[in-house]
Amino acid sequence: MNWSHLLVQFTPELAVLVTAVWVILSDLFLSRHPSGLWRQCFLGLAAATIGAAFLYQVPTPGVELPAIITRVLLVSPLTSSLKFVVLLLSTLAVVFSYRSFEETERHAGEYYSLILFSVLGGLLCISSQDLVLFFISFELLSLPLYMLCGFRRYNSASAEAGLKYFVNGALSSALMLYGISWIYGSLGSTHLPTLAANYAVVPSPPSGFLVGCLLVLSGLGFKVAVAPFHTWAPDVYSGAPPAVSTFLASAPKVTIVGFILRLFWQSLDGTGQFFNLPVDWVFLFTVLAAGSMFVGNLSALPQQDVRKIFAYSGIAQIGYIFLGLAACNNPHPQQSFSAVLFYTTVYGISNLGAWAVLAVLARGQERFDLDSLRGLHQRNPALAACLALCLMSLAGVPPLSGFMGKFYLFRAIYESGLPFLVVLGILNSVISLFYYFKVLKAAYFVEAEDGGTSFLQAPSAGPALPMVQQLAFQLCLWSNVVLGLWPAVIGEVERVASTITQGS
Amino acid sequence: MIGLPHYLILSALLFSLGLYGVLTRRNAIGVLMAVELMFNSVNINLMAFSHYMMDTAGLAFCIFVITVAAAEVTVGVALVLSVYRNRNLIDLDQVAELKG
Amino acid sequence: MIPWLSLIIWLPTLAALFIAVTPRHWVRLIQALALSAGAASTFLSIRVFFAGLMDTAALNKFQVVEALPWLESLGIQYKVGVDGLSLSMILLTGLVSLAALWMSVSIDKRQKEYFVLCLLAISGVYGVFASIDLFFFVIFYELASIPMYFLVGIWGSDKIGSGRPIYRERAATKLLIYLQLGGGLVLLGILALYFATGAKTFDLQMLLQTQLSGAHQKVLFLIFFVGFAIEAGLVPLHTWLPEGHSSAPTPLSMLLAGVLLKMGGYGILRFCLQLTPDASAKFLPAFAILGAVNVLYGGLCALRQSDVKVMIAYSSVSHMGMFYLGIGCCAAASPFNGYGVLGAQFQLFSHGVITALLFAVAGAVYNKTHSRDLRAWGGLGARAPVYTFFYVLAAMGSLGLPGMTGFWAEFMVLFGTWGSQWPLAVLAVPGLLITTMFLLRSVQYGFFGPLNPDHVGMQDADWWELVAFLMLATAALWFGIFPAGLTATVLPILPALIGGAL
Repeated sequence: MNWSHLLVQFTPELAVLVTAVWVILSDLFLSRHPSGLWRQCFLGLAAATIGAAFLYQVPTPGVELPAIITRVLLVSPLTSSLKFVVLLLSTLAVVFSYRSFEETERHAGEYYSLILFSVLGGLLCISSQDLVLFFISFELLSLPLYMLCGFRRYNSASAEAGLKYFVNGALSSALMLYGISWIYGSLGSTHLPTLAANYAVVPSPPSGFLVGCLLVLSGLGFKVAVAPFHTWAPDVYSGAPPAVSTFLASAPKVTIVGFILRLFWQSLDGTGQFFNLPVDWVFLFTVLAAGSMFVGNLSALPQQDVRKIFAYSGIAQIGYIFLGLAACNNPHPQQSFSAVLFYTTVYGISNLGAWAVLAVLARGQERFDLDSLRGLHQRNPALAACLALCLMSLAGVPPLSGFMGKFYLFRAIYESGLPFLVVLGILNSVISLFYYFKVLKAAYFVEAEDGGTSFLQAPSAGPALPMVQQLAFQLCLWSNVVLGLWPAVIGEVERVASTITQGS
Repeated sequence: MIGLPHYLILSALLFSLGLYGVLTRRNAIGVLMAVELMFNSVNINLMAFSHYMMDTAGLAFCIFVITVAAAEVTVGVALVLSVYRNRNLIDLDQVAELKG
Repeated sequence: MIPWLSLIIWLPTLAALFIAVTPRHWVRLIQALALSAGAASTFLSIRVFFAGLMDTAALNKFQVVEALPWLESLGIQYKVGVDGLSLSMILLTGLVSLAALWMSVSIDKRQKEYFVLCLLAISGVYGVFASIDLFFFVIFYELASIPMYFLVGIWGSDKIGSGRPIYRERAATKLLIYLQLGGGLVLLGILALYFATGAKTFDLQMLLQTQLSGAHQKVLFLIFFVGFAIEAGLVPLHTWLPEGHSSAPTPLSMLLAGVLLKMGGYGILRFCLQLTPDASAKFLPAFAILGAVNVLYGGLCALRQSDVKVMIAYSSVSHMGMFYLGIGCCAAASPFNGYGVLGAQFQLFSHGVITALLFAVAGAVYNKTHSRDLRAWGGLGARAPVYTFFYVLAAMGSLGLPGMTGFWAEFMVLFGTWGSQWPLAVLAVPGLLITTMFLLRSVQYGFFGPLNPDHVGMQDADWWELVAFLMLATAALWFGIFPAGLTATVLPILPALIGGAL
């Protein structure tokens, strides 16, 4: 048993854990200076991100981890890459929330420790090999999110968002837990590989197992806000502080989609069918996907509040991801699998970039209707450009990353023999243009109210952004172009997907 | 003779009651209690399975669930309190400032 | 070897990147950057055109091909080249885009963003005509159409005179949605093609060598035809066109009518006629009826307009009808059928140059008079002889005066149609008459007759406008006098389009 290997393999988790505890202690005993806490949190997450990237780049195949660890935690190229994406998104979210709460809330330090604990839950969730650990890490991911949504305690909208999210989240946890108990009862284990092995020897699938799987799926569906489990999303996203929504809309969703991929398709040993259950998984996922896309896109059309538009857009985007999941259910899921991975990553970054604009603007304004974006291109061209590229990427405009993601996804779906779903997807992309470009119209078409006569100095420019936020905006902005045009990224994703069916 | 199905039916009943409660109760504290009921029905399930399958993993899981449920309720009550402080009401139907 | 085509495509993008980092108040530098990049691309495209003209026999295959591996696992590569079908389109893009950039000198607000978007769109149009890889075709297609939304919405103008008002924001949204619907269909078709041929490649050269089954051809034909016909203004799908073209700022109207419309036409020739010949032979003669409707309906609508830009936009609808009539001849077993398709391709070039000139003059006059209403112009001939000269020239070209390109295009189309479906030719001839009527009427109202007292102090054309006018007029006259310069490039590829020699 070599514990130093353990330290190396779980660098990201440990870094986040240590930082989380450190931030709490530091908040209590050491630093009363808020930006110090921010810095510690940022450094911890950045270190974890670099660690995850390193682990992904430099796999250590010969390393023997203690059996007690490998029984519950899995380290593979898939988990390392997902962890890297989640950590990157979390780091960016923390960067964008800088100074969001320091002036207004008394306990800003708690914000950072809550985010860190949530990230830790997400990381464990991605790695978990056992349903018990999965449940606990899932709760570790969720509980801080409820508190974060209600973080502005003296703002009734924020408190209400927290409560709503909590009620829906608790319900989804309970559903999932009940499902897990049935899976445990019908196949006698909570360990995923053991479950798969046990399943392979039973003559016919136990009905309890089936019920369990559906309940777990609905619990996960709540978390990613796929229709018909989406009703909380618009309220929560618009009520929560935008800095929190920025995090909420990116990292946890990538986490959950990653776990769905692992849960339903990783332990498949190449047969392709999800445990050969007597349920038409393709149909089920298609219904969820089509429902999400249509509900999200059509409900977003009449909205005037940008946060609600983004929330519904998130619901619609999850629909595309579920289309890809539907296409995963065939004997050769690698293509669809890598398409889902790529699309989820792209979605995470573009969505984060769009929300980040609101998070930064939220320091100077309370309202977020379309008019409030008026003249953004003059007030802050960088923000407007980031918003434009991120939204166009989400809408699937070439040559941005969202287009590449959609193209790759649709191609995989078509190859899986589901051209009908491609038609649905393209139709929905066209519908979504309406509201994405409505936001851009607000930001770009009209001049700011005060001035516009002199373009020498930007009228009513807000306070200058800190350098690190400017860099992060540039990162979000250019990632849309780079991910769309740099083929090496797709190559990496395909490499990750190819490891999946090898049972590692 | 009481067997596994009896426990499962009991837990299913409790779970359904809890689900019904979450969906229909208007009082936020009531909703919290209903969620608690659902968690405990899961515990009954786990313990029954664990007992009849001679497998201790279920018992361990059960203890985790109890712990998590406690944490969950703590967070929930805190959020209810925060809404109550802002608006002096805990009726979920009236907490509807944010209409999707 | 110098990658001429890639230079043509990417020089505008490069300039756009430079402009993006230029301070926004250095307007002269921004204009100079944009114009020099546009001029360089145009110069190179003329060079490529004449290089192709030297060796026309080789134009039945892609020439000056450049290929770079991009994403091999999906069968995508960056591959550009020209053949007889796209050679004249590259030249057209060069002429119209440079003229549009010259006209853009008059843009008076937010020049930095304007030129960035405009140059990106120009890159996209070049790319559409040059790309052999269909994945990049889609990327360029969208690169050409997405900036139009912002360009129309921000720098456009509203029509608020008599009749139903047209607001630029609405027009921009409509344009975006229609073009994206077309783009979505094209994307769907390309994916279907990718799997239907079994070649698992987006390389057009490889796809052209595969045989598609009859059923596949029919489905693909319909997807592609509807997708591109939205862009190329076929009548039931055309409604974005008059609004979008008329609301756009002048240079954008030129680009939209001059080259964006042609992307649709080029797509139909390339994807429908070349890739699905059997289905085209089956369906296109029926769609030619819609072409005749286009001619008549567009003409009648134009006749009713007093707003000059809306009138020109409807005249585009009418002229695109000639294109559909022409390609409708592709199947008929008569010796004339080749002339129809040849004429249709000629019409793309001819209409591009002439309508761009019409829009350029009309837009320039709008900048001076701040009115788009023909009746408010009144007798400008007395004050602005340059505008009058070029408007009359363009109108004559548009109505098909011999000696300009429009005549040859319409002549060949009608010749082919007469041979294959003579009733349609009979139907289309009144359309020509209507075209003559509304164009002469606009000349009469706008430039002759008594001078409107509001415009006594009006200035004639600025020198940069004159450059733009001269470029387009020269092209329209040159190829009107020597039509063989264009037809020679198309003739080698014609057998591939109609399934036989002319």
